[in-house]
Amino acid sequence: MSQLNTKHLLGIKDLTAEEINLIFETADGFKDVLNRPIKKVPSLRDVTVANVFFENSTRTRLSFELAEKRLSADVINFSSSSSSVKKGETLLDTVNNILSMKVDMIVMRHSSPGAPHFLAKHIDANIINAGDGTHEHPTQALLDSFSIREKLGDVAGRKVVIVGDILHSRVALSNIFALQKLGAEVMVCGPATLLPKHISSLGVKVELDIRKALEWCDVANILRIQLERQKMRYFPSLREYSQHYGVNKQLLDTLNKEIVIMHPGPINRGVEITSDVADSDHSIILQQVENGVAVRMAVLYLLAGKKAG
Amino acid sequence: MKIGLANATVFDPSSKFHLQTVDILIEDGIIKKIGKGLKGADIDLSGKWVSLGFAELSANFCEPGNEHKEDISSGIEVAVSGGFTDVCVAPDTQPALETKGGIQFVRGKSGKVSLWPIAAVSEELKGENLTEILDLNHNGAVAFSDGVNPIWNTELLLKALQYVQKFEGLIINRPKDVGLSRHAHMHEGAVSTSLGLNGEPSVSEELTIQRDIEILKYAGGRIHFSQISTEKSVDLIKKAKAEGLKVTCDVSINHLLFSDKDLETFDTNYKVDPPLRTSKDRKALIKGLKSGVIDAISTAHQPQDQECKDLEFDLADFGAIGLQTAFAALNSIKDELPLEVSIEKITRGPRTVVGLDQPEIAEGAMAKLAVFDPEEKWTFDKSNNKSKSFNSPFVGKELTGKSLGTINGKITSLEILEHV
Repeated sequence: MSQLNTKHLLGIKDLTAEEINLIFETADGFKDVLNRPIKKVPSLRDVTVANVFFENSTRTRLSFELAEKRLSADVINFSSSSSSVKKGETLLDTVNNILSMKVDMIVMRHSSPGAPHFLAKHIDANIINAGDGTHEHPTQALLDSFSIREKLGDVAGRKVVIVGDILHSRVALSNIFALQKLGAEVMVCGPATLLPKHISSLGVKVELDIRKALEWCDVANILRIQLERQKMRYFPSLREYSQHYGVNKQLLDTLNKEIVIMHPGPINRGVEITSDVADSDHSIILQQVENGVAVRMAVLYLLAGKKAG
Repeated sequence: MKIGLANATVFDPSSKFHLQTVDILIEDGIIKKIGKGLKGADIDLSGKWVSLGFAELSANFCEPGNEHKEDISSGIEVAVSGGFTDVCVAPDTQPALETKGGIQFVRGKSGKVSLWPIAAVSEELKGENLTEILDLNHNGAVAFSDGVNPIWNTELLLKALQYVQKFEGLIINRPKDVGLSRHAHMHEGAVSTSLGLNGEPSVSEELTIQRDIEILKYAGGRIHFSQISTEKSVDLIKKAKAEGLKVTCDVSINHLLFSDKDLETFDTNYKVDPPLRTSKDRKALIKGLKSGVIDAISTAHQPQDQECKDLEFDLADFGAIGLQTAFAALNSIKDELPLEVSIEKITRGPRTVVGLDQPEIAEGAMAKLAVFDPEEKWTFDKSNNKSKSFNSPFVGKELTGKSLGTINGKITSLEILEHV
């Protein structure tokens, strides 16, 4: 396999394991490039990419922009905190306006699940989903699995627990799909109010006790607790969350093994993860960020090739 | 005026002419004679079916307030094109159908299709104060509901059930718990989980049915549950009926054909309320029709314009149009649900629920008839869509079976019969 079967990256759901591995192999090459003195390749010369962000993002947008620039693409950025427009300029209007300026690829983050799928029905440009509401965040899942593969040699057969707010997490959903396609076993762990009622229908294990979850796993991917959720009474207090679901060194020390610690960022230090864990040797949090650029370069490269082909 | 239909196959399981090929002579809106080789039978309907005119339990014709989506005139044309001679018109317009004037306005538009207004049960559909139910009934409201809005206020529901007993009136509720359905865009289950969409759990509907049945036991009266969608709802209503309570219910055609899996492509034409449930629920609803627990089938005709539908899934409005494609839709599932059952549930069923006169295919009866070609293949597209809106799960699909026109008493929609 030398190219993807799809012209968009809307979700992990649409990819085969073979395609994911193609992305990884391509990313291996780009990771080498990123460690050279000259980090730039001409692959996307004359390709214009628009990063269209209807929701706040720092690292994902930066990571995409850097990936695009390393590939020599022309890059424009559009940010609007007011997504979800019904009357007035719609999503389709906004994107069509951008495309009229001869843009080839759209990287979009949007608060509505399925927004990039909706767009894909209406426009010709390649679309990369950079997060659609509580649905998918495919490049995050790709870089997470890529990082596990890098650290442990292989994803297949590994046991991965995703900890925290699964209910509102596109990272969790995309990770579940990617890990399962690559042959890993997946567990979710958190307070029951933060776990979707039907999550086990996706074939994942469900655990409410963090200690048992950590004892089971090889890798723990710890999700950010969004502080504003607390107001919606999903759990009584941050203090209690951190006591019962926070991952700290003391807890890890009681395990009879070493596990890999991951976090998609940004971290709430002292809430879902303590500093002594986040900064420890077990943590690959910064490697995830580094790999993000290489993986996104691979996705951009493969999709742009798809268009040309 | 005389009309003579020749060689028509009667499709009406309750008629002694069921599946017989006969001629039908109609004079001044009355069926004068049914037989073979009748003189004056000059409209050849060989290979075509004649059934009772379909009846819709609740269609939203959007007038007044949203005439850009549908109005009563366009709604009537849509209904005729689907074989409907009777339509109960939903009250959730802007303003709501809650005054004597509003009821008279709707009734005054009856013609090709007889319109039967359902009045709002609460002022402005807010669920706080009762409308002038006696006056509305006196002027022709056939039932009382808040349209797609559930009657959330138990006190108001209780009083409404008591108040309508003076004329044995009917309260229609859309069973849905406001709290459990808030922010929901589809059924809560495996599919909503994998799509990352907020779902409405089945318990939202079932809880409300249980609640309403208890209130009905206490208050007396009659209640109809509009568009039930879950397996357990069928069981609950079955039990209530067995206890002798005056409970009826209907199901929408969409829920007989589709399930939540159809939402996997985020197609907003499948975004309806109540949401499409699982295939297990779908099968239970079909079973409920066969066993007689479910009294009627509705098309749940709910027009939405492009601006309300061609959007991100969570921003799109609920609803689908359905009158025009009703027969083809039922025809497509005839192996699971025989047309003998489904046609009965969309002709006699709705009329029984709201208490309309039952037409018959018999000499001396008022002619309320629909003509179908059960074999005609057609694709539902913009060129043949009669509605002002085009929000249908059948867009672009090839369908089998089509309505060719109706005879509603003295009014024959001949322009459709012409191409027979």
